[in-house]
Amino acid sequence: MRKILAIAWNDIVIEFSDRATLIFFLVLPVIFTAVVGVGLRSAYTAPDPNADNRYPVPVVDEDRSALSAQFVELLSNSAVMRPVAYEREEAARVYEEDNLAGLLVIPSGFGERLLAGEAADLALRQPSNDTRALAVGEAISAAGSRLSTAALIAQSSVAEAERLRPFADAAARAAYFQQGYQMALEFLEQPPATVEVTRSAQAQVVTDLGSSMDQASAGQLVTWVLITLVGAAELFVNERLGGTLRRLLVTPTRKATVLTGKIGGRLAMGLVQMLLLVVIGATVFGVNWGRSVPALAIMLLAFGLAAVALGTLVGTIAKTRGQASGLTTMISMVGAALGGAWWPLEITPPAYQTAVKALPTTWAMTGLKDVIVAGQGVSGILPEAGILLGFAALFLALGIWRFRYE
Amino acid sequence: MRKILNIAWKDLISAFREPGVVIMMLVTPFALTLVMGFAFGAFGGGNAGPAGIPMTIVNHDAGEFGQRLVRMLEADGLADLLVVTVLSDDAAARAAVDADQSAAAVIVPADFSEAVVPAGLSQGDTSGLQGAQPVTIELYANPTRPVSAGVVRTVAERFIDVASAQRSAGLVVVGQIVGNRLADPQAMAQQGAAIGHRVGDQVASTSLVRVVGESDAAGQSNFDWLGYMAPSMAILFLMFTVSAGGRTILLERDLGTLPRMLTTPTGAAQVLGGKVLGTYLTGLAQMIILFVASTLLLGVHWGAPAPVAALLLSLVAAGTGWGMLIAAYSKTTGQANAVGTALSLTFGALAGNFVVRDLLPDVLKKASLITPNAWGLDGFKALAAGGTLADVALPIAALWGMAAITFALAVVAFRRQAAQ
Repeated sequence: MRKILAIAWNDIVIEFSDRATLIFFLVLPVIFTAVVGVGLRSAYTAPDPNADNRYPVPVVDEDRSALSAQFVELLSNSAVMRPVAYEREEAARVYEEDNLAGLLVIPSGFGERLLAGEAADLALRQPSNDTRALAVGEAISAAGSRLSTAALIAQSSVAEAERLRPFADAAARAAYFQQGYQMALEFLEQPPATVEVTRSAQAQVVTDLGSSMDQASAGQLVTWVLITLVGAAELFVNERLGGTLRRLLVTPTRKATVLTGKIGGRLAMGLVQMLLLVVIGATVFGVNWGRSVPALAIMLLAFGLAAVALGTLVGTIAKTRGQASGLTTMISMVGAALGGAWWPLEITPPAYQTAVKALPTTWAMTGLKDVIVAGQGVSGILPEAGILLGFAALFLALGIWRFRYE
Repeated sequence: MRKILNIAWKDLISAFREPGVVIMMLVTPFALTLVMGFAFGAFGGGNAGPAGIPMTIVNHDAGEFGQRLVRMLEADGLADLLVVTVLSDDAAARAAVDADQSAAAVIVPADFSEAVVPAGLSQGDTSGLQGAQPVTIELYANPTRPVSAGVVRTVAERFIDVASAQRSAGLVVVGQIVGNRLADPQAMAQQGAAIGHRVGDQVASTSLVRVVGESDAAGQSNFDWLGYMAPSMAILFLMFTVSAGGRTILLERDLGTLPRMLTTPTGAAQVLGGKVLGTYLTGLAQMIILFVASTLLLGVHWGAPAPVAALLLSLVAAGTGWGMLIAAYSKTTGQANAVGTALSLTFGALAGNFVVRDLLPDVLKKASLITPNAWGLDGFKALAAGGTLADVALPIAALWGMAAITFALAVVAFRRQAAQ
């Protein structure tokens, strides 16, 4: 046991004697967590009630009618966008200079056409290939839909009335339409039902849409710890090429002791890194890591074992330091991305979700979300932890089978 | 010049002969682009977003609207989006959500239909609407699938909107006819429900307000993940390549091949020029291979070839400048390796190689303009949208400016080292 600890400690000391290790161990994971968390915020978090963080959209009202004003009023209630009134030239300048998500023009005659029960167009200019564009477009369509519904109801009401008795003149017809339109708007303001979202009592949800930092912290933890632990491959290749493994074996040390010490040292590094990222996530980014410390600990340990075992296996495949380094980066980044560490798996196609169940990163992310978001305890994450331990056993068995000391 | 070209060619060939380098330069960025393409449905003609969302519904409402909600959820039109299981027990539906078998459970109360059309309304009695509070449809959401639960919520709310439109239609039509004494109240009241259905269906399928795309977004309302991620990953891994290229200068020094080269009739400037050109050509070859592979194999549209080529040449020049700068100010290859990798990843994170650039806060977007990644991403985005050389003139100028500054700073440091 003492030899195992000595070998493990020696590896850790050598690794951290290079100050650059700290950059990958701690600095970059924290930077990435912050940037990804901020980047995902708009996709995840409900708008802060104390700050208007909706997308500003210049609106040019060339119609200047009661209906166009009503439409802008509806837009101002949007949770996604904030209409800002401009003249046409100024609006175009602001849209281009500030790279805004849209520029809306309500053309002259908009209200008149709607009141006549005719289709009325809105001109929306948006940047191409921009993630904000769809949300802003939908918000404008939703507000337009409310006006459209009221106008259609009023139009139908006019038609029904006309079947019973023709209108005296166009003015009477228009007045009837206007009356129906206002009544419809009032009735539409009183929906017969609302949808109320509830969740399990264990759920750790801050907002309806969850927290971007929860996704970012768990995802970045999986990515960077994977780089550290799959990096065991570089350790083994370095030792093999440098002949240090061979030299260790001429001392009275068993092969199993050497291997356990090497793997144990790397695993310990990964566990310490996870602990630091959990603490920083909680204290700096306000990540809620769940209700059950034992469940979180089991998940992290199981993930650590699977990842370091994978590193051991990769170490037997890579022949040179360059190969080990390249494979470590590729396996870590692609594996993390595939497994849901960079984006939530639920937004991917069903076939993709099924295919990535073959990866340990998928089970690590699923288990971590069960702990962090669903607030599950030990019994809730046993299946994921069990599967990760299965991966660990498989990778380790293959790694040891292929392992060569020289 | 021939010596410079010889050194550059040797470095280019060496880079592509090393499997580990090829994995980093070509395999990883291509694999990540491929993964993102699959993840966001770019290969099935589909759009990014959830599909096949498992959900359950428990309908306690024996009336018309509860049944219609169930039928709407099970309709063919939503078959790709939702996989619906109808249950009769609230606890079982909640258990399915807790077991992660379902993204959400919709629980319809017994009085839903009564809330839409209160008793007596079809006989003209509107007193049931006076001060009536809306009933609550419960959506028991799976916290680990917030996006999917949000989709189910949107679908349920859209159904309520249609029901509300139908009710409003009946009330307006009948109310106006009766209020304007166009017909007998009793006779009209009985027609209210039929009118409501007819008008409601029309309202649900028609919109008088049309949103027309004016320019930039015409024909491109959905975000093209592949179009964004292919250049994004290529740029990210270009930075790894150029920082590794700069590192070879230090490696040659440590291995003694650099002093040996200098004992031949080859000047220091020629050696350095060859190394710089070698790094530049390696980066350029990497970008061209990724450009061709993603265009031919993944169908990515990068833009018109001429401006794409101009942008690629500028981007690789700026990247090479950064690679040389890192090498010039590093004392050891280990230091150059660590700083190069850290800087490449940080540049990638700041500029939007990992998260779509549009989503980043303005302060980060502006700060990231010190990176080649940001200018490259902005340029390729403009070109993919049909931009011309004029549209990428600013990114190209900025990248060449960046190349000039970084090269100048690197040369100062290399000269200082040579003097020592």
